[in-house]
Amino acid sequence: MFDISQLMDMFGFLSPTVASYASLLLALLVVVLPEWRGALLALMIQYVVAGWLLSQELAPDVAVLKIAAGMVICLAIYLSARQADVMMTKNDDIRTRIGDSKPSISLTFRLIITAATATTVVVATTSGYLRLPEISGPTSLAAISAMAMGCLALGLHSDPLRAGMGLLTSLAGFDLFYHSLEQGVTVIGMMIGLGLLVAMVISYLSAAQYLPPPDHEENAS
Amino acid sequence: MIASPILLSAIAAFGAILTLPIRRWTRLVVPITAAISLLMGYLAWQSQTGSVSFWIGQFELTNTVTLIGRPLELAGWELQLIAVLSVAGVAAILVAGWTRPGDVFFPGILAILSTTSISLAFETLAFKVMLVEIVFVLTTMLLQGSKYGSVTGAWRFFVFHTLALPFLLIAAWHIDLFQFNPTQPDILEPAVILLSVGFLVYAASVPFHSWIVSVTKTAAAATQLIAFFFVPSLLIAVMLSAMNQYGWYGQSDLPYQWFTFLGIVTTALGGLLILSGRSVARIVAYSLIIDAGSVMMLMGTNSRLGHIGIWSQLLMRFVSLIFIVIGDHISNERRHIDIAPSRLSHILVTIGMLSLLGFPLTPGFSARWFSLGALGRVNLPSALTLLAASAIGWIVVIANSLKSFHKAHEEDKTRTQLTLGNRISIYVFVAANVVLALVPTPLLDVARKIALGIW
Repeated sequence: MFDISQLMDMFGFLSPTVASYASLLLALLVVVLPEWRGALLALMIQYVVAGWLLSQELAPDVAVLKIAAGMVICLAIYLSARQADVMMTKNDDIRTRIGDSKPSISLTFRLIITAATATTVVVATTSGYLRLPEISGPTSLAAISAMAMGCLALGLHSDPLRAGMGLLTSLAGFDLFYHSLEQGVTVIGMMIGLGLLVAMVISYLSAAQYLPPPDHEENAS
Repeated sequence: MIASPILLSAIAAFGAILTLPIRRWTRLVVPITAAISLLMGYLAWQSQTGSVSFWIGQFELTNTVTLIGRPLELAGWELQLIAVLSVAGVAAILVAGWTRPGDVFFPGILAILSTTSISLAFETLAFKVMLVEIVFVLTTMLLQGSKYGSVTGAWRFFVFHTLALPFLLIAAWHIDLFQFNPTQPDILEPAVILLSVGFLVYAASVPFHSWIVSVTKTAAAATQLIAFFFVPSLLIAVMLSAMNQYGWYGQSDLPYQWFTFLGIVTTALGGLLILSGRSVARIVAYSLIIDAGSVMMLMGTNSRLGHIGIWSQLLMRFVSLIFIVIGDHISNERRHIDIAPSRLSHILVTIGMLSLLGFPLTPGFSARWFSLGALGRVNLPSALTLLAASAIGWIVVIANSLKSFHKAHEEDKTRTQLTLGNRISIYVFVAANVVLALVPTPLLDVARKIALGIW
């Protein structure tokens, strides 16, 4: 018989401290990576790491459920982003329209600002100056870094796909904190549902942004 | 015995599911959606008496029930609010049937009414807030509709409202913790701050106001009725009921000070920004920022008159937006066939914008002047800020309208010969405006009943 705790034991090489720094690094990658596929992969691993950290506070079954929900979220975003990619490749005018509307924030600037934020978060949390109540130090670091990096991604990216990944990172960080406090099954279920709804909005808006105008469809047909 | 919180939500949810497959057949879906919304309004109104009669018999209703272990209760004012929102929903559906903002509008508005009624019924803050988040999701879908291209309005609306979620959920946890430790009032200190921050985000306070401009610029006009009337009504209801339900929060000075200060800042910013308004979308957005600021200042008064002012302003905002939506639609229809906007559309949009700013002889006048009186009694600087911002808005609206009216007149001289239908429409709409302006009592009475119910 398969036991969920055996699955968690597979991550026995992880310690909470290593997991919290891994979470920080993954959140940083979501903000910095220029290609959406890389950022989505980082978000996916982020869900696994956050789930593992949650398993230290919650029952392992619930943590696995959160990881599964994270995978579904990433799958939904991947499908809509891929669809958008196909639309962009096919239609030059859409590429021009979307390309023009994107802000030109360079990789260097993103790197500098994320590095500065990450350093501030690490210094503030490890020195004890900034710590979330009722949760352990490593979980606090992981939660704060994910929330901070997510907010940064929201500010640095304007398109729903990349900014949406930032929003999801931020919510993943918040989940770490909130579920350590509130462990009611109904609340956890509703938070999972809300996460899926947020992913639905991101997918919908990402796809809508890249849809061709109606007259374009008529010409094509 | 039927539980009204479940019944109201279930009827609207059933309606949403029913209308989803037929959403593209406008002539069929509009009457069905409007009828369901009207039925919901009737049931909400009748729930106050405890029974409802149909031709098949009489049914007993109860306003209290337990769902997933949590108490659900609809107070009298909440039932009145649901009834008002449902009737306003009928108006919005009829307008949408004509302006066609996207086929998801019809099932969407019923889903929003369903979620609104169940979220008002939940007594637990965490559940209320999560259900409100579902309303944001649905509204975002409606704001985007099936439009291609810019998604800025819908996206910003969603992000800026979602930012409140973490603050309110953590506040809800503190409230639950206090219930288990009532001898430790210091648990509530962070809750007061977190609730205030969350509510300021909900109220579109500076710096969380920027979504308003994006929505007026990119979203279809009819869907703006949802974003600027239905959603704010729900949010104000959640905020005022929290102030009422949690005595420690309602009696604390901090939220009122924050609401007053940031309300003044928001109103002043709206007044300054409106000076740069050159398009209808921007002027409407800045007028709405002034309006949002005034609602915050009224919340800051913590007075009976302030509460009446809030609901009066919200109802008159809906009426003003209806004028703008219809005017904007006529203007767009004419642009599609390469004709300059008509006199009728100019007049309607101008009336709507002036009404939004509380100009005399427009529907919004009574609510704005009532609010000024309520503010002036408690805090004169806030009343003066609102008056100054409104006055700047009037000048900008009149100047812009005269300019565009003359421009359109020169572009299309043939329009000096108005058709009979056009002429009658102008008279009807101007008469409706004058009637609503001179006889505001029915709407103000509704606002008074809801406000006093909470108070």
